[in-house]
Formats: sequence, structure tokens, C-alpha cells
Amino acid sequence: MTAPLLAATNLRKRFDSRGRAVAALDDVSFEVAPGETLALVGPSGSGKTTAARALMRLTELDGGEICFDSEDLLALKGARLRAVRARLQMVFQDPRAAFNPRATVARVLDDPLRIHGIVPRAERPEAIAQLLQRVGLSPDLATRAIHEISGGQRQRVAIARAIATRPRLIVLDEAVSALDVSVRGQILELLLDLQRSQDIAYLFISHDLGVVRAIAHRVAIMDKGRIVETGKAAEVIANPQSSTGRALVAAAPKLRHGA
Amino acid sequence: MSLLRRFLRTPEAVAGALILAALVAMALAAPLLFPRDPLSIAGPALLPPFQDWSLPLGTDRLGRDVLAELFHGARTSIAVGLAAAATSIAIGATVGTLAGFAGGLTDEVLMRITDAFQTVPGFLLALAFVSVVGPSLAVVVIAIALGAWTGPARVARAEVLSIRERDYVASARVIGMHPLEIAFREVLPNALPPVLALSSIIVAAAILVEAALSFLGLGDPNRVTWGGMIAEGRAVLRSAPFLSIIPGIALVLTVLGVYLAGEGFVEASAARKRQS
Ligand SMILES: Nc1ncnc2c1ncn2[C@@H]1O[C@H](COP(=O)(O)OP(=O)(O)OP(=O)(O)O)[C@@H](O)[C@H]1O
Ligand SMILES: [Mg+2]
Repeated sequence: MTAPLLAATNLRKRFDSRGRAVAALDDVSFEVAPGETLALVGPSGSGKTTAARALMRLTELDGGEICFDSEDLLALKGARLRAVRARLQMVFQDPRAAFNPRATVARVLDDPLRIHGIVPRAERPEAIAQLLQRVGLSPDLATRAIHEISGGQRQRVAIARAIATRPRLIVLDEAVSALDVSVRGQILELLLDLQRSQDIAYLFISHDLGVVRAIAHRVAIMDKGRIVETGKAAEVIANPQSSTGRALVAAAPKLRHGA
Repeated sequence: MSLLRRFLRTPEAVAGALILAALVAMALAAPLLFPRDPLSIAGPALLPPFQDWSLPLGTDRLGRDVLAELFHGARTSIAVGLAAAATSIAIGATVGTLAGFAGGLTDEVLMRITDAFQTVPGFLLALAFVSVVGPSLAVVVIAIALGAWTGPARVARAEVLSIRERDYVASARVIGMHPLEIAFREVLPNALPPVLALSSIIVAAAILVEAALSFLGLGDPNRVTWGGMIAEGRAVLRSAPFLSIIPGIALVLTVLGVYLAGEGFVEASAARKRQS
């Protein structure tokens, strides 16, 4: 087996909400191989977002280790942490909330190219046009304000922003949940396409097993801050071992008959 | 409905806007209508208003044209009011953004400093500053801003505290943006609207503080100011009350106009926000 791209080991995080301590992550470990999609599924409040934000260093952990691209992610800070972010990206759930409300599409895509010095200033408009085309949008969209484009278009822009720095791993936290069913299919196609052409690994967070089945190689099922089951996506969904897994499958009626 | 239409539907706002328009017109017209130095002697001393039509509002103790002084004084009031408001909002927004965005010790230190400034009355602060540094227009502006930036700082901080938890700030961190760039380019512009809503109050207060400083003889000596005119008139208050009353009325109307127009604008934009 090749070395994992990402190895999260024994992640722990507690929140104190109204005097009660909640273990959002209770000894969570998982790995993602290069070019692989690991789906993280689980009921609401099981700790999926906390895990994603911890990986992105948006939430500080109480304990655990994260090794990304053979670097100790939790030891990095300042400029070195910002540099690693080029290789580790994230797409958020709500495409309306994920952009500065004053931004234009061009500015959103310009930022990563500028910050990581990927493309010289003069060539950036061209690079932005290419990024837009790669996610299936017209380059004319560049001059539009973010609030002028549709939710599906925004999520494509969010994906374009994420791939601008040619990352090795993208964390997608419910990235298609807020979209219409038809748009959802197109975005999943786009993600699969990008994965094939650029060998990107995904940590794909979802509660929709149908979507997971379509995109993920492996699944990790979370419940109450713990991972209760992992395995190949098709196998886990066809024959879940944990009670949480069985409940999730039972709640997704199409799967029971279709698969 | 457009912001302007909403604004025009409130009579107070319209009154305020008219007063402001008149004031701005006065300030702009001053050098054209009264090209002479307003501090130079124009006629006999203590000429009452409405006697001589070349000096419609009469003259003061030294024979200076009151109308010319009034027009030129409008320039000073507007200049000081706007500059002091801009300065205090710039300082306040910067301090509030840094405090709210950085959190922790930075926040603690900056807010203690803000508290300290807030406990001293703004006018005393301005008085002390001008007495030490010496009166000039720039010093007066800074002196007023010194007492006025704490309000914007608090409002900006509160707004930043809520904005910094939004996804788009997380996105900016995720793409590796420098924290200072996040604070000033992503967060601050979005925190500004409620801070700017304070501007009319700050402008009005700044105009009053400037007048009070000038009244105490701490204004820029090379400029006509309404406060200075009132102080001048005080010596002859019994025999020539109009010398104090005229600039006094100008001052009250101006402050009222700024306040009404500002409130009208804030109301109109709030109403539009509610509707959209
Ligand atoms: N900032 C926070 N403060 C306090 N508690 C929190 C915070 N963030 C998360 N939690 C708690 O931690 C637990 C895990 O939350 P998390 O958001 O990671 O769940 P999730 O699996 O993403 O759920 P969902 O499917 O609803 O998005 C929940 O009990 C939640 O209430
Ligand atoms: Mg979540």
C-alpha cells in the first residue's frame, strides 16, 4: 500500500456548550490515499464538520495528530501553514455564505493565484478564464459579482477556487447538499472529472448515501464523535455492520431496492 | 424603492438635507461672494444688521463684515466636522477591527485603551490636547478625533466579532490569505455600514466641539469660526446681541441639519434592508 496522503490519528475535541461538555471528536482516526475519495457520513451532530475544520486548522484540536503530505500539519503556523494550504483546500456547504458578499468572481479566483504566487499578475485574467472553463462556466462570468450568480454557479466557483492552487486534497463539507438535485448531479460529475484528470483526493462529507455511493471509494461512518465503521463504499452500503450504518442505509429508501 | 425616494419621504430628513445644502452652498460660495479676507475691516464698527445693504448683517466690534464671517465660518465648520469624523471613523474602525479579529490579548489591550479614552469626556481631551500642542486646524481635528473614535471602535469590534465566524472568513484562511489582509480587506469593509451610521452624530458633535474650542480661544486664529464669533460678540452682548445670536443660530441649524439628514439616511437604508 502506498503512503497515505492524509493520516489523522486519535483526534480529540470537546466543546463546552452551556456547561455541558460535548465530545465532538472522540479518538477519531482515518486515512486518505492520494487520488482517493473517503466519505465521512453520520447523523447530524456526529462531528463531521468538526473533523473537517480541524483538518483545515480552522478549529484547534484538544489532541491528536494530523500528517498531510508527510508534514506534521498541527506543528505548522504562520507563513509555513499558509503555504501548505495551497495543497489542502476546502469547499463549504453553503455557496451563499462562502464568499465575501462584495467580491466578484474574478477577485475570488485571483486571490489564491496571487497569494501563492502561482501565476504572474499579467497572466491571471487568462488563468481565471481557464479555471472557469475547467469547472464548466463561461469566462464571461469573471466580471460578475458573486451575489449575481446562481447557487450552482457559485459552487462551481468555489470548486474553481479550491483547484486554483492544484491541491492534493480537497475537503468537501456537504458541498452538494444545498444544491438542487439536477445541479447536484452535474457537480458530482465535475468532481469525478477533476479527480481523474488531476489526481485529487477528496474527503467528502455527506449524509446522503446515494451521493456517497456515486463518488466515494471508501466510507467512514461517524456517530457521537467516533468512527463506528469503515470500509469500501459499496460494501458498507450493501451490508452495514454498525447500527448507525444500518440506520443510515434504512433511512435512504432508494438504496435498499436499487443496490 | 430607491434609497433616495425613501429618504425624501421623511420631512425631517428633507429639512435636514436642505439645511445641509444651504450650508455647503455657503461654504462653496464664500470665496466667490466674499473674496476679501473676512478678518479684515470692512466698515464702521458695530453696525447693526439690515442697515447698510453692502453689509447686510452689519459689522462686529472691529468693523468686520458679519455675513462674510458667517460664510467663511461655514467652511471651517464643515471642514473640521468632516475631517474629524473621517479621522475618528478611520481610527475607530482600525482599532475595532484589530481588536475583534485578533481576539485574546490584543483585544484586551486595545479595549482597555478604548475604555480609558471613553472615561475622559471628549471635550476635556480636546481642550487638553489643543492647549498643549497649540491651535491650528489640523490640531483641532486630531483633538476632536481623540475623543470621538471610541464609539466607532466599539461598533466596529462588535460587527467584526460576528463577521469573523462567517464561512467566507474561513474560506479566506483556507486559501492562505494573510490575517491582516483578511482583517482589512475581507472583514472591515463588511463591518463598515453600522460604523458609518454613526457619522452624522460624530460630525454634529465635532462641529460643536470645534465651536466650543474656538469660543475658548483655542481655535485656529487664522480662520473665522462661528465659535470665535460668538466669543467676540460676548463682550458686547448687551449692546449688540446679534453678534452672538447670528453665529449661534447658524451653529444650531447646522448641527440640527447634519443630525436630521444623517438620521433620515440611516432610517431610509434600514427600511430598504428590511424590505429586501
Ligand atoms: N463551536 C461550537 N461550540 C459548541 N459546540 C459545538 C461547536 N461546533 C460543534 N459543536 C458540537 O459538536 C458536535 C459535533 O458538531 P458538528 O458540527 O461537527 O457535527 P456534524 O456531524 O457536522 O453535524 P451536521 O450533519 O448537522 O452538520 C455537536 O454536538 C455540536 O453541537
Ligand atoms: Mg456539519
